[in-house]
Amino acid sequence: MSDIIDFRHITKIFGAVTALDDVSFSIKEGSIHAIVGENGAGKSTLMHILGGEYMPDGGEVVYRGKPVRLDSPHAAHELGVAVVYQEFRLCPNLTVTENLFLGRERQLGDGKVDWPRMQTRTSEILAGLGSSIDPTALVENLSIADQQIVEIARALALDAEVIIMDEPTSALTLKEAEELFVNLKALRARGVTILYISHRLEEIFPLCDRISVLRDGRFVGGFEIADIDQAGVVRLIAGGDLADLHASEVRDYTDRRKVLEVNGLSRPGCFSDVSFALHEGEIVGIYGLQGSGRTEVLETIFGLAPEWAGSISAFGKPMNNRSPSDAIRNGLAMIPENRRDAGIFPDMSIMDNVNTANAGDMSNSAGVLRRRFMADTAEDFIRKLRIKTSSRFKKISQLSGGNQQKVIIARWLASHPRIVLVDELTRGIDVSAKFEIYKILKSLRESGLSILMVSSELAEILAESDRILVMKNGAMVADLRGERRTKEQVIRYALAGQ
Amino acid sequence: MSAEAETNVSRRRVTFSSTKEIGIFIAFVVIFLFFSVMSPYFFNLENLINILRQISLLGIIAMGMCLVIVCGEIDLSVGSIYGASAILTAVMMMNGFPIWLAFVLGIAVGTLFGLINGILITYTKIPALIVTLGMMNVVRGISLIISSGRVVNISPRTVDDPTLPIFLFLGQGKIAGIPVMCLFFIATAIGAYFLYNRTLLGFRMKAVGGSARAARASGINSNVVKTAAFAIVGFLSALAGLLNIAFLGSVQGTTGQGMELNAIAAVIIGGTSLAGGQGTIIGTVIGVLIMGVLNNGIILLGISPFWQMTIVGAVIILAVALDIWTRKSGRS
Ligand SMILES: Nc1ncnc2c1ncn2[C@@H]1O[C@H](COP(=O)(O)OP(=O)(O)OP(=O)(O)O)[C@@H](O)[C@H]1O
Ligand SMILES: [Mg+2]
Repeated sequence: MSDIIDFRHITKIFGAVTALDDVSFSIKEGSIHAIVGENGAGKSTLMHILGGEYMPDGGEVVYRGKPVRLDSPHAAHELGVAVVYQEFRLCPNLTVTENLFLGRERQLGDGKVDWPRMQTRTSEILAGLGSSIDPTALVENLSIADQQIVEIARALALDAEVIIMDEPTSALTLKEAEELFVNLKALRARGVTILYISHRLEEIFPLCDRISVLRDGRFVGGFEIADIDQAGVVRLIAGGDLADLHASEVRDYTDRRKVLEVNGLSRPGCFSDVSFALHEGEIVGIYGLQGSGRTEVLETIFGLAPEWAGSISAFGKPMNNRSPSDAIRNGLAMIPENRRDAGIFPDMSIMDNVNTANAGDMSNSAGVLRRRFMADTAEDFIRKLRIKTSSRFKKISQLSGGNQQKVIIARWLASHPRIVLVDELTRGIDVSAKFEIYKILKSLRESGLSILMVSSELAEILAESDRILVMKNGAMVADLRGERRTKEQVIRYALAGQ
Repeated sequence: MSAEAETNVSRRRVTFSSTKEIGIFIAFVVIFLFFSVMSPYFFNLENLINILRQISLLGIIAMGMCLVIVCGEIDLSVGSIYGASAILTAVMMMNGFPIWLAFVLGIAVGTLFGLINGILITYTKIPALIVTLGMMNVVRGISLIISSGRVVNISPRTVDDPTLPIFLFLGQGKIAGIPVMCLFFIATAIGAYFLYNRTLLGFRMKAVGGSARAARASGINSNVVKTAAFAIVGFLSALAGLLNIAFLGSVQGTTGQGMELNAIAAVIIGGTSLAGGQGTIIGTVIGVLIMGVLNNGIILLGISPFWQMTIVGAVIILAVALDIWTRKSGRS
């Protein structure tokens, strides 16, 4: 196989930040090529250059042996390059079909606009992805996961030679991700080249043929996947050995005060009769397959559900949150699953974004902002969570995707919650940052913080939680602690329910 | 160390906020120099003070309009509130209300109109454009009904209150050579700057206008924040209306027509985004100055008044183009 793309000495500078520094490597035609690196390493920037969104400040892209000038997304399309960007590029007011064929409305109808044919083609592509999204649905009414599928479908509809996927699975369910991998392998069999960016090494190893690692904007290594193992890749990504990642001791807190008690909680169509308690200082993990109702339980506690039954009490008092502001007043914070889309104020600085949920501390009793305090809080979290930025005044929308997420996480940690609800912390966050965040959560529990976390990653749940609750089909089926808190038990209950 | 950090902070602050307004400031300087060169009457103290006086009332309203636009909303009723609160106050004065009471009630009515705008928009979810367009007509109608289409005059003959000269002083007087009206504008601008940049309310206006979803998730009650912005602009419109009647000594049912578009124009020229979430008080002040200098300069040059609107409109577009252009080149 020959090289289809050759990056030669690519450099890209944004003001004071060198996002890419003399990056050179090549991609073999018909392979699935993984690109990995920490948040802010420059992965997305490189893909923007290949997609014609940014012009490099130095170096060139060589395509099939010839240097090419990618000065617009159109130029990239002409070449046969399609990109699924990390942040969606869909028109929310148009239907799925209209989005798929936007700008190419005449392609299928011999020069005429033939909507029925486009509709059919859209259904085919979506079905191929194992999805049942209605092609006539408006994109703004779709869930984030479905919007991600539409993004992917649009790239597939282009019949491109090269498809770039920037963290496509970070919003997908396990099952949807599996369907995507089947599709990618089929594309590879047809000779399509795929560039695949992800923070999940577990999915990269079975899927990809080669892997390139970026660190701080520099290329630090490229391998055939068979020639390296996960630990080796992690070392390259982080630039050294990570401290022992999962070394937390499990403690028993069940004799402590109950800070959160849920009794007979039900939400129509989501879950029913869920009961459990969270103790002071405890980390409780909720595990279950997708659709088991875990996220919905967190949302209900946080006041995001329209309708529910049962009782919730916090710190011994009944709690009835009808909106997030009620929940925040009651000492709760929630780090949601789709934190980037629901959480960022795109035009505000990092500092302002960190402080928005922090009203009590960021202003004095007369409502005047305490800017010194806001600055200190922001600087503190920029350092602790290793948010990669040149200054706290930078607009959040200029950060890399993962770093935007870190800012939102910082916001919730800064709101001094007494109970934190965490949903899929790992999505889009690099390994070392994940480790830092858990470290902070654990240090906070010395001061009485309690944590309820949902995760799809079994290893993470086992490593981080004191007690594990398992859900299946909307019911709480197990409360595993002590001896029974093992991988085998968790899997058994999650699959079989008993 | 901390002292060093402190100065570092403030230095960055200054450069950070000034880069945003630099483009529109250049446009202002260009226009200013143009008229200074073209007309011998333009650049002298008297004329400059005259310009300041002419823009003060628009400026007071534009400060409030900027806050409303930052919230992602718009208010078309400010011109009507400006007229109606003045007429109500005048009629009260003529009917024997003490002047201070009529003044307070006039301002309260304007604020109330603003509150009604805000409550209707946030609780019924009717778009601000519709609500305030309706309110613009309703309130204009009230002015016309009360005045029955006549000019209402305030003078010692019609108002029997020894404090009348004090009231008129607010519109006509000068302190150290500066019209009192201008002092009101300067105070309003400083207040608005402080509110927008230094208080929790201003911060939340930015947040609410920037992303309604994220604001809700952060526990911010956007209804309260937006209603506050509408009440503030109602308050300021009434204040400007009262200063206007103190200046002219008279008011009529049509007073203030078109004021809303001038206020919106000043805000947009200044670099505040109509999409919400981003605004600048300093820019708005410059926007108001540009409008004032243009109107004044065109008259001084003896250009036909028929051309005036056309020229003002064209310069507005040019000024904003220059602003966008400098911002783009500043970024890359
Ligand atoms: N438009 C921009 N303006 C200024 N700086 C930018 C811009 N886009 C990216 N950067 C900076 O370039 C660096 C690389 O960002 P990039 O998005 O390529 O990271 P990434 O590897 O994709 O990270 P992630 O895993 O978080 O998505 C970051 O430090 C980021 O702050
Ligand atoms: Mg990225």
